[in-house]
Amino acid sequence: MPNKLISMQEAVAKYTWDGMMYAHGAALPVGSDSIAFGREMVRQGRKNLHVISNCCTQQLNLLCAAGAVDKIEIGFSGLEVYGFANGLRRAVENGKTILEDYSNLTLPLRLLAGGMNWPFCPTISSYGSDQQWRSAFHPDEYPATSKIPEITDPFTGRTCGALSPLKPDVAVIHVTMADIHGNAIMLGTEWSRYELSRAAKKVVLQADLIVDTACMRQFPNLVRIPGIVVDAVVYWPMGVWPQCSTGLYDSDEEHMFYMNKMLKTEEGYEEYKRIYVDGYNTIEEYLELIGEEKIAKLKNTTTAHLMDPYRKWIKSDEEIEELMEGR
Amino acid sequence: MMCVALAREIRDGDIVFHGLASPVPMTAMKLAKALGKDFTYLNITGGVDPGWEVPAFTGSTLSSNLYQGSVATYGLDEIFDLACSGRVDISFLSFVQISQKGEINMSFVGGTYDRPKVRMPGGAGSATLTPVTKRTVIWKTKHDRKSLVEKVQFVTAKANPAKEFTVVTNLCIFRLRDGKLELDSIFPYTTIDEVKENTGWEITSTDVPVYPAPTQEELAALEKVDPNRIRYIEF
Repeated sequence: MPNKLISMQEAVAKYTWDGMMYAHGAALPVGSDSIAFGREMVRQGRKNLHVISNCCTQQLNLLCAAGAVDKIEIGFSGLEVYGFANGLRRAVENGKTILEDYSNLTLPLRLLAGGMNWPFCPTISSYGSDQQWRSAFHPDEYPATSKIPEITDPFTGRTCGALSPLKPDVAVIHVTMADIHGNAIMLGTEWSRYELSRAAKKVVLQADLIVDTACMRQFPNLVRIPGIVVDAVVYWPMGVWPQCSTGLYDSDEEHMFYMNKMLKTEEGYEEYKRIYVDGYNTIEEYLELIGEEKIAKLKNTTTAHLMDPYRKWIKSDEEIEELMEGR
Repeated sequence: MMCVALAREIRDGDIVFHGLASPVPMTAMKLAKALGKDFTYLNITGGVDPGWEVPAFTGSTLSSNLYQGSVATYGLDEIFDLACSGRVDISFLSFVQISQKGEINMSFVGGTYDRPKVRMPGGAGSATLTPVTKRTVIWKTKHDRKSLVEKVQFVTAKANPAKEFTVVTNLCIFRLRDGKLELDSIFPYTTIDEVKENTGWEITSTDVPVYPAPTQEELAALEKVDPNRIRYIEF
């Protein structure tokens, strides 16, 4: 299998475009998400995105604040204890972005239906609420007939809802570790990343660590995303920051609040972008921006023991550089 | 010869699958790996790219031999979905009977469906994979009139005219053209007459080349990947 390592800049240039259907994961307000990838998308000026999110994250918050998003289909649009997502709120409230609500079950079910090539997925979730009857994409239609239409269960005769399958153009998925071929191990909750990897037409991984393939051969049962469905692998340590990557680092609460506060206004967003989007070019500069002391503190996580079985296979920065050059 | 022919069907970058009871495709895929082809080996144990260097010790292809050394676990349901998404390049399948239209019977012979004379094993994955795999490759180690028939009694799976469909027997290779299996080449040790005599439908286009014999390199690699000669179990 080919070496799929690619730089962050190349990955965004090659696998994203204006107007695409873009999915990201794990899409948890606090946990793993490909946030560094979202920063690079903002930097490269992507716009008119149709975003698929199981939940809002700081990535979606930032993309919305940047005015890059036209449509969102989502299961939860807040930022947990860090508040309403201000960037997203601003974009939706000023009419730039149209947000269509689903539940945290119906969104993954639609991804599952996409991955399994079902014509539709029957559901009793989101069924009977205004998530079924109201469509932000078709606001004049009530009750909406195209969002979760009613169908009859052919076996029992009872009615239920039908969900349309999702096949995003590209899913950018954060994983704890991947080999150069795209075989990936995730620590912590998967949060539908597995379904996402099966549904999307192209998959790009953002990995905190690159490991030797021998690691996957030791634990093939733990490789939930195999390289056969992966198109590219981006190495970006601390790539989930300011959210957490289980086993490696905790959430940076201070920055979570700070970032959300900044994204509340246009001026704040510009200031944030200047420092935390445009303010670095390399991984080294990115890590400097977070700060050595802060990183040490975040890495002192109580889940660190989860990494113990894998440590001997982790590639050093020098080895990764060689692998990048050897492509 | 058959193992070599199947191995030659595999191209760099392919995603290739075989199922149960498939010692010939297993040996062919290991052979292709040994010859340096860069493809992904999927099989019914769920192992992705198992360590092909360890020789098989049984004709069963649901053994630990095809899981050890895997880089990931991808179950049959997931492989089917991968195929339905158009991402599986080759499925190696077999049949009990086949017609010239590429209709495969794996279900029953004689009697009626509800009271068959001989109940056969059933289609397993063939009805799922044949319509969606880019290049279905069927192998059959016994080319005779009982197997290659004019008409099948039950169509367990059918070739998709929109996809490539190849049949490799112990005598020759057929490829699907305009919805019909046409003779593509014959193996060096047989004749057109022998192929005709053993085929249940009339072979009209007989002006076909002799398939290139295995090379020394291929034969040496074959012995290396299958020193226990598991591949002969099917013959």
